[in-house]
Amino acid sequence: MDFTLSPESKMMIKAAREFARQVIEPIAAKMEEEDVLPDDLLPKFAGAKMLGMTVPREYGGTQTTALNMILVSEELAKGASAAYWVMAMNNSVAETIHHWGSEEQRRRFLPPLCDGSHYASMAFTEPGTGSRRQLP
Amino acid sequence: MTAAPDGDDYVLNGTKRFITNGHKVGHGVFFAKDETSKVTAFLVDKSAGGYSCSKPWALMGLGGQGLVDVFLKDVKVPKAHILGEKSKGFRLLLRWIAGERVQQMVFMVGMGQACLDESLKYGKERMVRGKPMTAMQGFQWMLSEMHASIEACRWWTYRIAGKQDEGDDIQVDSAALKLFVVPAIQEVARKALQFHGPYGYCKGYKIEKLYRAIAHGGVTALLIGEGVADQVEELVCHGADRVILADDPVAKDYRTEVYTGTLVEQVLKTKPEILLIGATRQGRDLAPRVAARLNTGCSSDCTELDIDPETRLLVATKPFIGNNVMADMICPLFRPQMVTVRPGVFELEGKDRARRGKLIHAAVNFKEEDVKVRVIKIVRTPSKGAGLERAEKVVAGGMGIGDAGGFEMLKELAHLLGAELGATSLPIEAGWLPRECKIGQIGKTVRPRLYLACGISGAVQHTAGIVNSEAIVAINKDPKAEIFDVADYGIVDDLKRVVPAIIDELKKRVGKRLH
Repeated sequence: MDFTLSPESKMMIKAAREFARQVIEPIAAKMEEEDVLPDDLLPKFAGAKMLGMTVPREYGGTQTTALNMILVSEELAKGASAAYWVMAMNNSVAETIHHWGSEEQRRRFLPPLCDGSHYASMAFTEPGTGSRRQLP
Repeated sequence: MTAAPDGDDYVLNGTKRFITNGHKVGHGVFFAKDETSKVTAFLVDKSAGGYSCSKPWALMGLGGQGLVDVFLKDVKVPKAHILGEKSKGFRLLLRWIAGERVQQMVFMVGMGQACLDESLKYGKERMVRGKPMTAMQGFQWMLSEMHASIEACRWWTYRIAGKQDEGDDIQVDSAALKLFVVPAIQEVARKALQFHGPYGYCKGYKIEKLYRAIAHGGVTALLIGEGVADQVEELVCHGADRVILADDPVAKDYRTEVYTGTLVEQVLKTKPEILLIGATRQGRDLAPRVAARLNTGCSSDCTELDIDPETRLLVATKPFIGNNVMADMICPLFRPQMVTVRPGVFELEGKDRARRGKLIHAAVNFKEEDVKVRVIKIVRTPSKGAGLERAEKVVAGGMGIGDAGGFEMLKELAHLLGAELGATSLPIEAGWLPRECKIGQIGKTVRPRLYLACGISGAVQHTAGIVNSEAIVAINKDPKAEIFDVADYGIVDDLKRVVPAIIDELKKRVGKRLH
C-alpha cells in the first residue's frame, strides 16, 4: 500500500493553497457578512480546474482522482467559507451525472457544470423528510 | 414530491428544502416519487415554468452558501432527463450522499487544521509572564491533542477517497468516517477557542468564525431602550459574553414595530443558534412576531431549558394543564431555536464583577415619524402586585375569601407580614383585586419563601404558579381541598377565624411599631 502523495498531488495542493489565498481570502469576510455569493466565483474555480475534477476531459472535466479532489478541497476548507460548498456541489453532482447518466445526458449537462456557467443542486430534503437521522 | 407521467414528460409537484444553489441558473437533480411510489431522479431545469424558490435561509456560519426552499408546481421534465434507471433513484441518492460525506469530512479536517494553525500563531505571539504561551507545557498538551485528532481524521479521509478511486462502495466507510470526524473536530474547535481565551469570542479573530462554522458558543444580550447604557455592566456580570446596545430615543418605550424590527435585524446579523425572550407581557407580544419574520418556531412560556448532549438541540420544557403534563419541545429544522421563558422561574446567578464582555453598538433603524404607534401617555394602574414575582412572602386568597371586603382582612395580614398580596383567577375576574395580582398558570409565577394560601381550593391552574415556593401554608375549611396536596403546612378551619387570630398575634408581637 502506497501512503505517499504523488508529485501531481503535491502540485495541486500548492495551487489550491495559492487560489485560496488570492481568490477566496479577499472576499470571504464580505461573503459571510452580506450572505451573497459573487457571480464570478464559480467561473474562477473553473479556470483553476477545480470543477468536474473527476469528470473525463472529453466532457470538460479535469479528469483527476477523487483523492486529488479531496486534497484540493482540504486547502479550500481552511477558510471555513461557503465558497467551498459551491465548488464541492458542482464536483459531486458532475460525478453523479457522469456515473449514472446516458451519453446524451453527459454531453448536455456536464460541460456547463465544468466550465462554471451552471450551478449544481441536489434536491432531496423536504419539510417532512431528509437525510438526517429521524427523531422519534 | 411527486412525479406523474404525461406523454413524453413527467409532471413534478412538491417542495424541497435547504437546496444549495436552488435559485441559481442550471439543472438540479430532483428526487420525486413516481407513479409506482418509488423514487426517481430527474434533471430539472431551474428556469422551467412552475419552478420557484424562497429567499435564502439565514445560516449561523457559511454566509453566501444560499440554501433555499424550492417549490415545483406542474413542472414538466422530459422522460429523457431521468437520471439513472426509473424508480432506482434512491440508490443514486445513497451513492451521492456517501461521496458528499467525504467532502463534508475533508471540510471539517481543513477547518480543524485552520483552528490549530490559528492557535499556534496566537500562542507564539501571546506572552504570559514574559513567555509565549507555546512555551508552557499545559498549552503544548492542548496543541498536541488537536494535532493528533486532525491527523487521524485526515488520513482516514484520504483513505476513503482512495477507495473511491479503486471503485469501491464507500457507503459504510463514509458513514463511519463522519461518525468519528465530526465530534473529533468539534473538540478541536472547542480547544482552539479555549486556547484563545477571551480573544476567541472576538469578531475579527478567525477562530471566532471557525468555531461558529464548526460548533457554537457564547451568550449575547440585546439591550434596547433609551438611556439604558448603564445596564450593560449588569448584563455582563450576570453572564453575557456580548451585549448589543441599541440605545435610541425612538426605542424609549416598548413599541411592537420598533422592537420587532430591531431584534430581527440583530438576529439576522449575529445568527444565534438559540434566541431566548422573557415571557413578560412585552415578550409575549414580541416573540411570535419575531418568530414569524425569521420563519422559525417558538416554544412559548417554558420553565426549563436544557441542551440534548447528543443532538445539541435546545430542549425547552413547557408545563401544560398546571404542572401535570410536561412537554419537551425541540426545534430541529429551523434557526434560531426560539423560546420564551417564564420570568421568575430561574434563579439569577450571582454577580461576577470580574467578568468581561464585549459591547457592540447597534443602530435602531426607525425614524420617529415612521413609527405607526405613538406613545402619548403611560397610565399605570395602581398596582399592588408588582413585586409578586420576587416577593419573599406572599399572602394569597381564593374564592373562599367570599367578597372584596374579605381581601381587606388579607391586606392587613400581608401588611403585618411584609408580604405581597395575590389571588387566584376568579377573585381577579370578580374585580376584588387588580389583574397584576393574579397568580397561576395564566398569571404570575411566584417563588417566595413563604406562601400563605387562604381559601384557595388548589386547582392546578393556580398551583402551577406556586409550586416553587419554599414553604406553602394553606388555610381551608375543606380537609379534602387539593391545596393540601402541595402544602407543607395545612390548617383546616374557617379562615374568618384563623386569619384574625394570626393578625392579633402578629400585632402583639410587633407591638406599637406598626400600629
